[in-house]
Amino acid sequence: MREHARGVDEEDVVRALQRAGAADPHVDVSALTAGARGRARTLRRRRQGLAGVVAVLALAGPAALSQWPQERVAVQPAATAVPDAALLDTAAVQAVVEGVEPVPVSTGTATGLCRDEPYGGTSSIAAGRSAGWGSTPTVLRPTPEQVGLDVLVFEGDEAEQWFSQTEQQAGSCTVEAVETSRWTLVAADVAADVAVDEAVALFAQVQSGTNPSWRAVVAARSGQLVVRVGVTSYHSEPGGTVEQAATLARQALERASGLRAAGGAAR
Amino acid sequence: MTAVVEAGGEAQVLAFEDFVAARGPALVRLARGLLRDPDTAEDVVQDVLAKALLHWKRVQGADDPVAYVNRMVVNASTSFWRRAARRERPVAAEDLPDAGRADGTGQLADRDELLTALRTLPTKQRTVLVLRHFEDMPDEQIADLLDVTTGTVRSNAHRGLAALRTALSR
Repeated sequence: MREHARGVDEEDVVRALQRAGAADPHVDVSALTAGARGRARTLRRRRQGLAGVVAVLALAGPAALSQWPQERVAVQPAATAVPDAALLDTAAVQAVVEGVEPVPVSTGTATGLCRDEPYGGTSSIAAGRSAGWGSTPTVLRPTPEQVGLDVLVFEGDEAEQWFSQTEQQAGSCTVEAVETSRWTLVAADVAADVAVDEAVALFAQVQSGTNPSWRAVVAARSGQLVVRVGVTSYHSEPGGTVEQAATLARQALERASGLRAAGGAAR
Repeated sequence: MTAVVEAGGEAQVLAFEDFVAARGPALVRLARGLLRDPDTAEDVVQDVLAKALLHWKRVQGADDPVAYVNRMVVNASTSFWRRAARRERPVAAEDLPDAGRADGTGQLADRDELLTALRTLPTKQRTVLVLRHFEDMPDEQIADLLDVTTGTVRSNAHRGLAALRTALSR
């Protein structure tokens, strides 16, 4: 069917296309072959160079990661008002994340979920205490599995403010240096024996590939008591790591609440 | 092509040379249709041939080595076009140079004007028209190459021809 439109119909266009397709493009075949061979050599050299870099990283990576900083940064103030008994013990942590051992905790400023950054209202933290556990990196698990626990007791309604600020921070979390993905906010399932006023959880992928590892952080509040648990562990899906963090957060909240109710902590 | 497919060992070198000698101009013509710019087209084809040479056994082992390399050219041209689209301002059909009118014998005056108009079409329409009319490729083969249905090929061809006709009628 011929369709006319101001002198050019479809068959004209088809014929013109066929003529253009049949036209000799004047290609210098020798130059084309030589150019392709030259580029192939360049590509091959580049790939060999890349393979060399990968090989070096494969050998040097585990060695470098064995120097991974295991020391945790504690909340401010480095309070002694929260006694040891208010923190989870190593056995309780190892029951959830196998193979981790206590690591040193230095004083500093650490709040927030995805980032350790100063919290503006730190003066309102009546008491705080941090603990950390970590595993030894191996070739198959070059990123050590880690657990971090912070127990915070706030004054007045500062706990709610801390939570509000922390959730805002979580909403703008971006990639950290060691993470390979953005943080994702998920529902925090922290059903504890104590009243949980609010809870928040998020995760990011630390290592992808056949042996993926994840970092999950869960914070939960009961009154003026806040616990924050961060877990880095190996699972095929992030849910496994989130569940570990939620389990430890629930246990930590119950433990700290019990001690607090008995008048032992942060008073 | 049989000689290329059956070639092995040292003969591979000759096979590649033979392939480029036999198919090089057609590949450049195909890329020119897809990309318009002759220099860019030869550049893209050289890249494709370099990659093909690195995996020449895979090319030889393909059911249809010609179709295999054609697909590489189409993919490379599409990638190039997408990268270029991020850098360039698209040319509206009304901004094209004054194209030649039909000369009464049904022939359009200038191949460059046709290619210029072709360049303004969406990637899929342009690719379908080039494969159909430059390469004389059946719709089924185009559908397979572009991983779409034959219905999509036909609708893109129809829309592409209509748009081209309108552009060249201005």
